[in-house]
Amino acid sequence: MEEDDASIGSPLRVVLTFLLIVVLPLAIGLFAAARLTPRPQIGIIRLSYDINSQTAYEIGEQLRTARQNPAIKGVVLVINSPGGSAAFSEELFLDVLDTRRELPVVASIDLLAASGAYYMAAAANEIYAKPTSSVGSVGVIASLPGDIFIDEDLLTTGPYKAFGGTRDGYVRQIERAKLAFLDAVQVGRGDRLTMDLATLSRAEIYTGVQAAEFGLIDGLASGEEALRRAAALAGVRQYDAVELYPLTFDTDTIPLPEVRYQPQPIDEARLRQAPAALAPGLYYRYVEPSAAR
Amino acid sequence: MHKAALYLAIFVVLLLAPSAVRLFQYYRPLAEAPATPPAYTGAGIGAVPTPEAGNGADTVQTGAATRRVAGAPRGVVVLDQAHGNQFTREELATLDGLLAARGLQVRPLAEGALTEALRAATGLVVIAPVDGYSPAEAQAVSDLVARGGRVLLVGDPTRYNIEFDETDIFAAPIIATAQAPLNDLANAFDITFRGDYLYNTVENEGNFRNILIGADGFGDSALTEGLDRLALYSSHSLQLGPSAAALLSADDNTWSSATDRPGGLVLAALSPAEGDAGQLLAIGDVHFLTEPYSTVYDNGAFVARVADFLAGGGSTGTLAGFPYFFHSPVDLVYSDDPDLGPDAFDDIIALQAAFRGVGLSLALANEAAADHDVIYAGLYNTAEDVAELLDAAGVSLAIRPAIARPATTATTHPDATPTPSHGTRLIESPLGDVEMAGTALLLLADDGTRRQLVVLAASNDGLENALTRLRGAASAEGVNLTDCLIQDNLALCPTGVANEPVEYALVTSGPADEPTTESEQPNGSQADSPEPTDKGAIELGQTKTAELAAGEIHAWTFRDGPATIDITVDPDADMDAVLELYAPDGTLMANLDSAFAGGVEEMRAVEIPDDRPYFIIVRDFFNNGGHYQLSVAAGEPAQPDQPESTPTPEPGG
Repeated sequence: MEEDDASIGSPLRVVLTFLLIVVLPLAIGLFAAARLTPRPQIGIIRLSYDINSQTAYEIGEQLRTARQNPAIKGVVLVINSPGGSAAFSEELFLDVLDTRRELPVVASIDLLAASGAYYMAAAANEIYAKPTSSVGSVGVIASLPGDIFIDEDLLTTGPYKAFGGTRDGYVRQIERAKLAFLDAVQVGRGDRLTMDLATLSRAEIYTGVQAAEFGLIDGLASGEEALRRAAALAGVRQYDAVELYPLTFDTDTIPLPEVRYQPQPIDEARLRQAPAALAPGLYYRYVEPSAAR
Repeated sequence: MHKAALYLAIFVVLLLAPSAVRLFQYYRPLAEAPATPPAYTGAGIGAVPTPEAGNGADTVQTGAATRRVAGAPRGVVVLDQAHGNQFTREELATLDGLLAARGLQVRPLAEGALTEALRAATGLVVIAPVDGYSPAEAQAVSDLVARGGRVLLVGDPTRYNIEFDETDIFAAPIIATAQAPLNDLANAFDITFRGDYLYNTVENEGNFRNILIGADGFGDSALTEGLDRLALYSSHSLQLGPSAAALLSADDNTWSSATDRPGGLVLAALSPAEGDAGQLLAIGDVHFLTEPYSTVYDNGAFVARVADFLAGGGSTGTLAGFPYFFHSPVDLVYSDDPDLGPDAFDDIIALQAAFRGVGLSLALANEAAADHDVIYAGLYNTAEDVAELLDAAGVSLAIRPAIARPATTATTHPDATPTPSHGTRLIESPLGDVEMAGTALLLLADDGTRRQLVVLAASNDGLENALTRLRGAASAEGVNLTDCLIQDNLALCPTGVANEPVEYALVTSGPADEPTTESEQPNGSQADSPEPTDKGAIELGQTKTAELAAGEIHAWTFRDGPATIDITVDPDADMDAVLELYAPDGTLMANLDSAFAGGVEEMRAVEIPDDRPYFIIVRDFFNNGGHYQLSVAAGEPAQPDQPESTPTPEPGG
């Protein structure tokens, strides 16, 4: 009994015991906590250009990174894009929906989220914009194929092998793509969308204020607020905002894109001529009109 | 044991505490889970079917039902391609076929004056022009409508032209639309093409700009009667004034891009508005005329109705439209079958060249073929072939006065070479009475089967000058009628021949073969009349036959008075008899030249007061002479309210 008292009372033993019972687990706990409970991150993905095969790939890879990185608890899509290719816009829409199964995704519209860019944003949990951001242009633009013909030296096995289809058939494909767009917006926005689809199909561009009124977005907010909303949806109290591009790509070999979308107005005459300016295909693309006629 | 457990607990707590603190620091344990992502299946994407083709069978049979003869169109529709029109002929294949089936000839106007082209037209089609129309052209279109023609004006918001200044790459491009040019023509009919396009996002034909029009949107017109639904593929709206009526109106879900307001939008209109009197049809879309859009719903039937509308254009040309009112091969027929010499051939050749210049054929013929149009050329004196045409036009060729009132100035006895006052040869027409001498008559007659142009003059030179006028047909100015008295299809023009004689027969052999049978001066004045040949007495009830030599005058003596007598001269066909009656003192009692060559001169109810010798003079107006019968019969005294005689003017040769 005395030995026990003596052992306990030994200063050395007290120190050792303290180190073993208190300091050691605390040190291990602190060390492990940094790894087991990393500071959560809200990933930032920037869509700052037309949607095409390259940009769709880049955004898609960043979304994959977000899904696969346990530290990333949410994603904010910072959008400044007029849209672009219909199929790649739809791919991004589906990628965002896929990501939402694991992480909340919030879209933050800077200057413009039009057409295909809004298509993608519609899949996000929430969408925010600035009061004068440009939002909308829900619709399709495409140039119709020319008249069909046959040639003595060009042999095909079907009347539309060289043309893809009839002009009238293409018109209906375009209309159906519009319906797909409207359906996607309706699916993404659900009951929050207060605008009827016939009106939405006018493909107008709305300001952020109008878009909020019509339920195209969830509110007016800054990019920081969008981050906070993403964090809140993820149940995160503190977080780091991280750019996902450097985490996804080796910026030494694939540098961060320097191009940032700026409106590139197309004057009316060139737009009228243009179908030529559009490569074959369907586009969820907003074509900014020129200021001067 | 307890102590060890305590130590272990402390160890564990302290081991986990940092993580717990971080968890608590970083996360909200009770945060609401985000909503489950929606499932996207694409099930909400509706179908956009191609509409069923309507019954586009054309009820009009191609062929003889609408064509009079092969190559002879029922009407001419000018297709304007001279104003930067934004369409191709290939696009109009459907309409072309329908017009051809109705016997209409489509004449594209790629260059040249619309005013000239419309002179021949019964219809006009103008599609998406981007070059403006001059006031003269607009007036020509109005004139076409005024004379019964039909006009189809078609706009389309997708048809425009863009021009770039190649010398200045920074210059703004010029976008030329069809709105203003169409309104150059349409405004006169209370129709204005607006610069908008129509759209419907609620119910459309595959695209917001493809407007569906149901029976509720049809105006009361044969153009839409019995149709159920039409689709117009991008259309302007039309603004209408009181004299225009809406033919196609959009529903309340259709909006105008100009106002961004729905309702009350008109896509097609007719003017004038009354019933089916519309002669100008304005439509805001061209696509429905083209394939495949012409096969959708009732579009095909509507295009056929549009063709019917154009076929309904009146074929009434006017003289100013010479020679375009001819639609069949034209026969040039000289009346009285004259021997034609070099001068005539010059006229014919020049006229043929003029006709060829405007795509028509002209051939000299002795007699007009039944299915050909015809130009009759001749002298008034040989106008028997066209007597019916002249009569139908209210034109009479007459000699007035038929019986002169008792001369106020005594003339000498016939033996003393009397100078009787002959009647004046007149053209009596709705335009007034004009002397034949110095005047050419041009008359266009259209009896529904052929068009006949009558050209008459008093002399060979006058006729030649009249035909020369027609040669201008091939020029841009067209036939020159500016110095003519003209109304509808009748023109009286100066021949430009000074002191023009009224010639007996057409002689075109030229200066080397001047006719031996020279004509007299106008009005039959006989400055160098020969002495009458005394043919002896003629009694009441007698008929005498005599042969009048060229330049000869016969004098017959009547002594069976007092009596009321009828004096009749029945000449041969080539003789234009003139009958005069002189009193014993040489005073001219009456004269008569009411008929042309071959016509009977009949002086009725002439009072012979006594049994002294009265002289009956018979001569030929043209001094050609001829065979005749002279009769003197008892006549009925003239009633106070009846004219002294009832000569029957008759055109003839």
